[in-house]
Amino acid sequence: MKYISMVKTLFGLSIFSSLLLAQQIDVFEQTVSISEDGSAQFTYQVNLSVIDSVRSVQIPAGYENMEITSVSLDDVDITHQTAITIDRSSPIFVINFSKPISGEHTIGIITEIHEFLDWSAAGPEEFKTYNWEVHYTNTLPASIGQCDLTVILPQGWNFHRITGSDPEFKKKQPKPPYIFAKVGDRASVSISRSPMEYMQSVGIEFAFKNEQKPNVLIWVGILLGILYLYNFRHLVLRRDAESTIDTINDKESK
Amino acid sequence: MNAQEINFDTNLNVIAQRESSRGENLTKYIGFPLGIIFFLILYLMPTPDGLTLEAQAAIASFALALTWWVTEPIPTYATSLLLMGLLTFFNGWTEDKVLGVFGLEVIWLNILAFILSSTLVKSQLAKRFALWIGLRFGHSSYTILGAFIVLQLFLAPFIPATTARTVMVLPVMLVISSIYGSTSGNGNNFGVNLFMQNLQGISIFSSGFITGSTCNIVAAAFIFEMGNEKVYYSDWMFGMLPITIIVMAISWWLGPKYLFPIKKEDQQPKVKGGFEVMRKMLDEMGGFTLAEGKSAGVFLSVLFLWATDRFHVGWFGFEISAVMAALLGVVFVFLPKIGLLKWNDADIPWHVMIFSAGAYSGGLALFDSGAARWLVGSVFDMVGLGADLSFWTVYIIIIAFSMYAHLFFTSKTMRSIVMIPIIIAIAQQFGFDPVSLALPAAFTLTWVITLPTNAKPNLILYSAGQFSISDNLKYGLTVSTIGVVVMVIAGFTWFRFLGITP
Repeated sequence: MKYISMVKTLFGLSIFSSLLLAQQIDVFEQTVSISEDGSAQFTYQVNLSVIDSVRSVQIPAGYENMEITSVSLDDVDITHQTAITIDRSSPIFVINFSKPISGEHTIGIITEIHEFLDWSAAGPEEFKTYNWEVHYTNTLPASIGQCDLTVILPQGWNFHRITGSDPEFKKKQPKPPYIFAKVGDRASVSISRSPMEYMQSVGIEFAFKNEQKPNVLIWVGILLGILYLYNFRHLVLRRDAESTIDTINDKESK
Repeated sequence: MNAQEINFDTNLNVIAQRESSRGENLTKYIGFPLGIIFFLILYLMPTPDGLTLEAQAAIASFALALTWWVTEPIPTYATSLLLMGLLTFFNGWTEDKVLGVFGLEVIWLNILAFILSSTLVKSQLAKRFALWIGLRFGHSSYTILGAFIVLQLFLAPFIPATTARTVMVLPVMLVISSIYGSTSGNGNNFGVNLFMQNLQGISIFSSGFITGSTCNIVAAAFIFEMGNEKVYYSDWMFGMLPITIIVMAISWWLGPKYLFPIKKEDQQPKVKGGFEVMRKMLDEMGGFTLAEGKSAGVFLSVLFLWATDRFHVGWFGFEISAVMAALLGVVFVFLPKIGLLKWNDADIPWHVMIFSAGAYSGGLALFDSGAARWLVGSVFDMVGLGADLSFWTVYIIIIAFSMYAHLFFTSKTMRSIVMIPIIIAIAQQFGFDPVSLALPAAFTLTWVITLPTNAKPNLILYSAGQFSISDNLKYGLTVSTIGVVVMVIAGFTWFRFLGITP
């Protein structure tokens, strides 16, 4: 009995793999745009090569509790033909086509998670920083040629520090695997993995905080500057008025 | 001539007090608000593209500190402490990392090196060597300055550790400068020239040999890995050693002549009784004493361990690092009966250690936060290294940038890790041979000669109180600029002859 169930599992897996091998994800671009209310919009652009004609494709969704907003195949809306199913405890997009497709295609998917960023779990920590992370894992056996992940913060917030990344940034590397950029007025960070095999991930862990800085610093700076200029005016007025500040560790004595 | 007694003792822990010139007072007066203005602008401006908030805070804090170190409106060690505070308060680096800098190898090596240096003074070995070198070469200030440059040239290939070279010659330099009437807090331009030229010699001659510094080896490794070109010891030496000799010869001539002219009366030893007295003093010292022998033995043993670090694993099964070698020497000199020093004899300039800790925390925060990498990339973008430029334009920009980049990077190795791959990538992008840009740029990595914070030897020499930060800036920038000019001329001639440049 034990052997029969094992054979059935292997048979199922081989059928599943053969279906996946008919499709190849060349480039997988993913943008996670986080809003101030904690929700996040996920935009996927998938460049797909289909070797044989297929009526259905599967794409790892990466995150739970997603709601599909729109799906398109080569800019043609196919939202109603797409569903999210759970495969081996991981969510995947299953897109069914009315007619078999083959060759190269671009699939665009927009989804949303209403409670993605949990502010109370993220912080605030010291200096009013918050910590969060975004990870995407390839949960299907077929490898992805190149996977790009971009995380966009809410307006007015910026990255304070990157606390971890996948691929990892080793100190001896000339530059980190992630790149910062501005998307409109919003701060973003991008990271890639190429290729991304089965169960490999791309991800970023970061501390972030509000960009607003206290204007009181300007007044403190002006006050300190005025106090110094007043108290040490003898430096430029009269040489013999007072002794100079003892700052020196150098040449030429009196 | 104001004849005086020679001061064979050092007291580096005491900061000399002196009156500033009118120009220095004005610089201080302006420097304070200027530092605050730099900080406020850099911290409060919108975060530039590609920079984190942490990196922005680190840049702003470092800019304030750099302004105050140069203009000195408050003591340099106080500025360092303030920098550590600013990094923490504005979250440019974490508190535990900032405070942890005092436990870094560089600080320990400085402390231990000063204790070892104290043994040379206490045992009077430094006095003996200084008297000998003074009698042999000291008939004019130029010959004695030249003698020290030649000494640095010969030490460079044998002792790659620049700190070791510094500690070795520091006690002798202190005595020689005293012979010429320049002491801490009562200095003259002879002292400035002597200390600055040694500071430059230590760093610049390190660029003459691939083994002169770890950063050279790292750069050569990058050129091999990314550019598929192997740089041999002889390639490096033939390419760069002549340049270092030319630049140091110019510095030797230029410093006492134009930058810090030595008064006529300061060009001769200021010793009561002149050379006869010095000769008499040397004769009175008699033969080598046991203390001098022990001191020389400890020092040579530590130098031996420093110079043979690559063989340690084969000999002992583990490597004795530079710090541990110095630590072993210090343990010996503090041993009762057989040792040489008591704790009170150890002359450690603690204010310099505080200054160093602040400077290193600033530099490390710049690197750790990605600010340094961002600055490099931004400067390359700003000067247009993306446009269609000729090889020589790119060459000049890269040489100038890599020469002056030490102002913002405290670590030569980190500079090598960050800059050399970028330069190789630029060369490949333009279709140039990577060696033609990366190797000349790598030649400048050890030229850390502009500020006391640039390198350990600079800090050690600065602690002697013979030159100010502004002296260092003036002499260092001049020699760096001469270096750029000579490197550019070499690019057209010598490097082309050797096949480095097209």
